[in-house]
Amino acid sequence: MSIDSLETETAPAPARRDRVAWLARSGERFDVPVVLLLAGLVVAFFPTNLQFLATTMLIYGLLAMSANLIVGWLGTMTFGHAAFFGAGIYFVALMKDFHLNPLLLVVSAGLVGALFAAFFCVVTLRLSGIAFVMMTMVFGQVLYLLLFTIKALHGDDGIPGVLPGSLFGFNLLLPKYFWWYALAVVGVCLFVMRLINRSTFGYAVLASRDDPVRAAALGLPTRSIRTRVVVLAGFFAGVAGALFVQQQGIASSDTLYWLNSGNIVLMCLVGGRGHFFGPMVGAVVFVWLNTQLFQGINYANLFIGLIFLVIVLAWPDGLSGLPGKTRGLIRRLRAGKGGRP
Amino acid sequence: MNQLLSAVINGVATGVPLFLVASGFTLIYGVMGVLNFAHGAFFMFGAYCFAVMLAGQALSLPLFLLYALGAAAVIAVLGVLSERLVFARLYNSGHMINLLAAYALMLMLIGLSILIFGTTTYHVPRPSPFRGAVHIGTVPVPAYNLFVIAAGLVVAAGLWFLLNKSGLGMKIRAVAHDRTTARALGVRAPLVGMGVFALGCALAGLAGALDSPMISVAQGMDATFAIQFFVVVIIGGLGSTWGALFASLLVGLMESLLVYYAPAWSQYGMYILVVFVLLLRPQGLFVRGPAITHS
Repeated sequence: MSIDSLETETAPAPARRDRVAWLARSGERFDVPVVLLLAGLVVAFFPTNLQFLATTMLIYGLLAMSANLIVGWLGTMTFGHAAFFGAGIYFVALMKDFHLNPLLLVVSAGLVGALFAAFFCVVTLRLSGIAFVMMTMVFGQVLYLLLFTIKALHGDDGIPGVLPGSLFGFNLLLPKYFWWYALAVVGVCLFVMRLINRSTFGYAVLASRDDPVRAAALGLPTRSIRTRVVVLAGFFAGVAGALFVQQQGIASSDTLYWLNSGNIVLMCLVGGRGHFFGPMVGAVVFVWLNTQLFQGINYANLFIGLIFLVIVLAWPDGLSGLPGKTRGLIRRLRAGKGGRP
Repeated sequence: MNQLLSAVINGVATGVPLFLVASGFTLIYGVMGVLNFAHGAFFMFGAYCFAVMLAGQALSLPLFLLYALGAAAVIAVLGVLSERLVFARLYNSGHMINLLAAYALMLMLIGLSILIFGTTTYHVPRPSPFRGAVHIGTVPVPAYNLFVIAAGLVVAAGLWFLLNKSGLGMKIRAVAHDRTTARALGVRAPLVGMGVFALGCALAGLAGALDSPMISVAQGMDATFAIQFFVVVIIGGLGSTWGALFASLLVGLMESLLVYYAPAWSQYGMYILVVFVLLLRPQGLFVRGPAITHS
């Protein structure tokens, strides 16, 4: 998370620099709507199959951003995020015969995800560090196994025939309407995340990530902060799940598989967990790799793992750390030219 | 009574491969601070290597043991390679980065196993002296299960001797306790790290070989098994070999007893157990002091 640099400049700056600073500030304030609106307009002119792909990327982007609440904001890891995603998916799939309003379904799927996250937090309240991470994975796998035990969830067959319905007279089965619908939902989610990120609570989260001991000494309730962030992450993952099943039309068991949870972390890492939009970038790249480049290769994990490993070893900030890294490199090259032989 | 006896023997036999993998895993964590996500994949590789070496033929006991050790050696080499190429570069970069690297390694190994061994299912026959059943009193018990239990005892004793009585074990414990001081006192920590990785991965490979006649060797076996030994390690306490031994026997026994007496619960008993352990003793059963707070 980029902590906003506090305005330390006290001397009166020239008018032009003032204007630039103002632009940058308002740019940061409105970055979520601006970026999404631009993306929305561009994709609106795409052919239908690309619109469908873009929608999938967007939904995975929301999922990765929700995981980044745990990975980036809390600074820990989760290998069970697909559990919350799957909770949203299967909730909407089970409600398919009631033909409810799609937005109502999205919100309630989010609440279901949050509920699962709250339960997970109760179980792991006293854990920290590595043991917490291991439990995320165990939790995800328990939910995955439940799919095969509970008859109504149909195991490997999944639940097909989930229709998105229509909203304000627009039939969401058409990819172009679904795109705007998904964009609006994701936009609201990102906006809320941004608000939380900038709030006092957001700063408390960062403080307890960067120095838990000092944060606790300052009176921050670090455990309750973790719980609240995980519940929020569960909510947004549930929303992403609802959108996903509405778009794909089928709830399938492999969305809950633990490798899917790992892929979500991978998206955060590829994009860069330190940047607000990083996971979104990562999701776009990852979905593209998975659906386009590695399509039909059954050992694709070999390459995905390799890419992942290179990023971990050489490039821990991910793609969105790239501009900063290049800038640093250029600066170092320049300094090297003028300075020592 | 008869049922109980065979349930106990089967349970202990299920627990042995779990113990082998979990003790290797926890040893690597304790000494190197690496939570080796790829351990399940090493286990799978061990089973695959063994299945390919055997090629479906039933062997005599010495050959069977030799091949199992061979599979373990292959996995040990793989482990040392991954330590040299990946984890040796990541010292001092924190548990989370190591965890991610291990996850990436696991993905690569899964892909590699599909590339090398394909997606077919292998069946490994039991060694010829242990094909049938042995009668204890009137209870028939698969002879192979008794063999696995014996092998587990031998390995546990060997591990105990190695860690507690040998010079190498002293060095391993020193590095686990305080890496910097150990190095200052002349322990070659990188070598010890390599050795531990080799040992831990060899145990995983051996477990794969020993377990392969009891299960079918196929893709996805690593995931099922990884969850189980994760639970074992959490229950026993991270970094504790004896915790791993106790917890794997507990998990194996509970699963087998549930299969006999309450089949509907058999898949979930382990998870209910881990939830209770976490609520009562979050640091695990065999680790003293507060929960581990590394991050």
